[in-house]
Formats: sequence, C-alpha cells, structure tokens
Amino acid sequence: MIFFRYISLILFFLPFSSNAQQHLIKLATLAPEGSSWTKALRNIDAEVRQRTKGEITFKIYPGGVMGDEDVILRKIRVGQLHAGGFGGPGASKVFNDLLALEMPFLFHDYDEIDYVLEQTESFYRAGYAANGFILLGWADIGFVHILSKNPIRASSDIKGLKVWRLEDEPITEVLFRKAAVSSVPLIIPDVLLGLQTNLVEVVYAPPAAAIVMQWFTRVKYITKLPINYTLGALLISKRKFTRLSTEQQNILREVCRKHMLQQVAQSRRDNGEALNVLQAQGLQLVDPIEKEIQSFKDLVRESTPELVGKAFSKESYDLVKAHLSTFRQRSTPSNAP
Amino acid sequence: MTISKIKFPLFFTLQLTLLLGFFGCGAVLKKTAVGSFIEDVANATAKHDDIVLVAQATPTYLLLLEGLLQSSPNDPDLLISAAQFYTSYGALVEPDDPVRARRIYQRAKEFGIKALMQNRHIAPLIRAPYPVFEQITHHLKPEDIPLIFWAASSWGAWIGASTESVTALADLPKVIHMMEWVINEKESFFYGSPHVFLGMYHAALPQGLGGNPQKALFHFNRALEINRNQSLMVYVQMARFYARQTFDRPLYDSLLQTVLAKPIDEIPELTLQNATAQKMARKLLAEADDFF
Repeated sequence: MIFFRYISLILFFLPFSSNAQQHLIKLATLAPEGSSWTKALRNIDAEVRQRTKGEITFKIYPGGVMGDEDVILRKIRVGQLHAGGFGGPGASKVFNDLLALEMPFLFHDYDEIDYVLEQTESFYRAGYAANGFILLGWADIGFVHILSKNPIRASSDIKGLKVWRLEDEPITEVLFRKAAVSSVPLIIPDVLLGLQTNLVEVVYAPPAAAIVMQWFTRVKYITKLPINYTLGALLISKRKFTRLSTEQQNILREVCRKHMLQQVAQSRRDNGEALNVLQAQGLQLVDPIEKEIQSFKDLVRESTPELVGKAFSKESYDLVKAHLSTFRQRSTPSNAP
Repeated sequence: MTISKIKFPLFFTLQLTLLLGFFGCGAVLKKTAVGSFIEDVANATAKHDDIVLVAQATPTYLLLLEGLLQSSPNDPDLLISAAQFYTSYGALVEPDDPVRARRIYQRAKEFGIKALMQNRHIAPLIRAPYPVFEQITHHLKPEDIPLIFWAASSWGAWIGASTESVTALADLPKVIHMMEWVINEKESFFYGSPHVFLGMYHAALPQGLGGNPQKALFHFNRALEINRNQSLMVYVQMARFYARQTFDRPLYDSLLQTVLAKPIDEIPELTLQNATAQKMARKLLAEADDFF
C-alpha cells in the first residue's frame, strides 16, 4: 500500500516538476558591470525571468572575471558556461564570416549597416548554428578611426610611422603588408604603454574605446574618415538552447533582440558623444582629401582578393556586398533632388 | 590604418565608487573660529558610530557650509571642505539612491574644481588637454596635498557614478594623475586612502582592457600596511574590486568576514568609516552567490 501511495505521489508531482523545470544560463562577458553591454544583459535577465515566470534565469559574469574571450569560449564548449557577450575577436573565432562585415570602407553609415544586418541575419544565424551557437543579437562596437601623434591625411603620411596592429587579426595583417607599413603587433592592454614609450605612433579604435582605454591621452590627431565598422555578438550554446521548450526559445530570442537593439542605439550615441569629447580634450580632427580617400580605398581593393576565402568566405562577402548595393540603389533615387 | 577588433569599446565602466574619504581628516582649515568649528564637526562626525544619525545630520551641515561660502565664495579651505563633505555624504547616500548620489558627487566635484582654480599656477591647466594638464604637478607643494586629494576624490566619485558617460570617463586620467602625485608626496595621507583609490582603479577594468590586478593588490596591501589593518574599508574595497575581478571567492569571503570580526573604533577617526564598512560587508556577503 505504501508503495502505491508512493507511486501516486510521484504521479501527482510529475506534471509539476516537468512544468517547473529550471534553466540557469551562465553567461560571461568582458564588459564590466555598469556598461551598456551589461545593462542590456541585466535587462534581458529581468524580462526573461518575468516572462517565463522564473523558469529561465541568468547568472552573469561581467568584467572578464571568467577569463578572456578564448577562455569563455572554451568554458562554453565544456559546458561550464552557456553563453557569452562577445566582442569582434571572440565572435569571429566562432564564425569567421563576421569579418566580412568589418572590411574597411564597406559601410558609409548606420542605415547601411542596419539594412545589411537585417538582410543577412538568417545567413549569420545559420553560420553560428553550424558552429554550435545560437546568435541572439548583434552588439554595436562602432566605427573605427585612426588616432595618431602626427596628422594622417594621406596614405603616404603613414609610411615610416610605427603603426599598431592587433595581434592575430587577419585583415590588418594583409593590409599593412600590402601597404608596406611597418606594423607593431601588440595586445590591447599593451597599447597605452606602447604609445607612452613611442613604440607605436598610430593606433585605431572607435572613439568611445579610445576614451575608455585612455589612448586619447597620448595622441594628438583623430582622422575623421571612419575606417571600418566593428560589432560583437550575444551567443548561447546550441546545446543549452535546445534544452529549452519552443516557447521559452521564442521568449529568449525576442527579449534578447529587443535589448540588444537598445545596446546598439546606446553605443552609437556614446560614440557620437565621444568624438566630440575627444576634440574637447584637445585632439585635432583631420579630414583627408577626396583623392587620398580613394588611395586608401584602392589599397583595400588590392588586398581584398587575399582576404576573401581566407579571413572569411567568398559567400559571406558576396552576400554582404549584394545587399549593400541593393540598399544603395534603392536609396539613391530618394536622395536625388 | 585599418580595422579593428577592439573588444567592447565604450563603456568600460569603472565603478570607482569612492567610499574612502569620509569626513575626518579636515585639518585644512585656518584656525579661525569658523574654521575650527568646521574642523571640530568633521572630527566628531568621523568618530561617530551611528551611520543613520550622521546621514540625517549631514545635510544641515552642508547647508551651513554653503552659507559660509555665500560670503566667501572663493575661500579655498571652505571649498575643499565642501568637496570633502559632499563626497562623503554622497558615499552614505549611494547604496540606497545612486541617482541622487551622482548629483551630490557632481556638486562635490564642482567645489573641488573651484578649489583647484584658486591656485593661479594650476588654474589654466585644469581644463586643458591631458598632456598640458600633467604639468600641474610641477606647481604643487606639499601643503596642497589635502586640496589635490579631495579634488581628485570628489571628481573620481562623480566619474565612478557616471560610468555610462564617455564625457565623464575622459576626465579619469586627470584624476589618476592627481592621486598618483598624492601617493608620491604622502602615501600615508588619511590612513593610506590614495592607495585604496588606485587599488580600486587598477582592479576595475578587465586585464584585457588595461586593468592590472597585480598593481591593485600592491596598493591594497600597502594601504593595510600603512593603517596597520585598522581601516576596514580597505578590506571591503579589496573584496569588491580585487577578489571579484580575480574571481576568488575564498578571498572575498575571508576579507569580508575579517571586516565583521574586527572592532570598529581602534582608531577613533575611522569609527564612522569602519561602521559603514561593516554594513557594506554584510551586504556584499549576502550578494556573494549572485556574483560567484
């Protein structure tokens, strides 16, 4: 009899326990507490928690406490973590076609970026999925500008200067070689000291990053022409994601999308403000002449064949270019007088 | 010229919430009747063990200070006192109302900068680009230590409460430069507080973005050596910044347990600060599972 009572108790509780299955998503990022990234993540946690009635909760490890992006990826692969808020380096290590979006002089403005990201979303989602991750949203990092001790108005101005290059970054590696620029590979934390000791004289970063990492204190000029766009990604392991019910998956996707779009808007405001702040801090804005802009672009064109199919797939590059040209064709007539 | 893959640009927040100063350590005011009254209040406040009472009483005192500034708006000593008291009051308010604390810190910073502007040698350099600003240290003398410490503390507290603002973050190198000067001149100032400030700064950023946990550890340990382990706020900030950044839960727990186990009034001027440290330690211990 006791046995039957026990069984009936199990049966009684079974539906409840399966309904109330808890999912804790452990998520790490380099972004420190208080940043627009972690704010978005905290908002995602709060809203997902509320909409799933507590079935899904996040544990967020901000500020690189779980290690750098390589370590975070490794911990996700062994199941110790489940998700990450990545910058370009981490996100392109999972799926290198991200780099097709970061080619120099590709995008002119945010409208072009937003259109292309929307049109290529299914391609990138599939690419991340094939590599074991679900893409939950893009993060904006911003347009990269040149910061230098001497004004750079022409490609010839760079010759003979010591130019920083991010270690293990494939696109700059090819470009600098083609341009015969003497580049100094350094990891990000060593750049400030490199500028202080004149080991490097030319660096590049989005304006807000140049402030946060204090590089602006050791340069005098910032080039107005943006070089390339950079982005990051919110990724969750497919293994964790598929354990969620379809309804939970939908909630997670929807909430992440919403808050990452807010991160994008905030990041763009920050970079706009930062460009003004840099000038208020004494940096001179340098505007290359049209002819010289063309010479920068020619250099990129010459380097492109070496990158396509290696740094990123031809398919991704063609897709991005095709959508971009569609957008430009469409928007030209409306801009015409 | 190209591309970058700067990891997470913007933001990099610092969270330099500066719960260090805390009243006390006045000693900058001239021995006028008013000056010695302000100093007496500061010292009595620092020795108090009732945080709530002090938090409630401080606004009255702040208004009194502002009243004195009405008749002597450029008095450097009064300006430093105002920067100091507003910073300390902001630190008491911040745990419950960070938005209000930011406004209080902003006022503290404005008084601090105005105090700096009273020194005609450095006044033209304060708002200059960083490489020019750096030269202020050529014009500073040992008697400027309280001025520079409090100006930097109030400015730093405002930045710490405004980490979403790149405008605020752009001032941080100036604040660090001032605090490094204080360390070179008198590292023992107010029980090693300048070291605590730099300890928090070096532990606030991830290593990949220029943070330096080893330097942070050095500064925290040096502060403890200076105050012979009597300033409990050092342990608290070491747990909050260093132990979290290095993801060291045993260290985090043991630092905070140490805070709770120690007496708060071995050094009378640290009583209020130590009482606040214990309050923070209890909160941080309760939050530990959310973080680790």
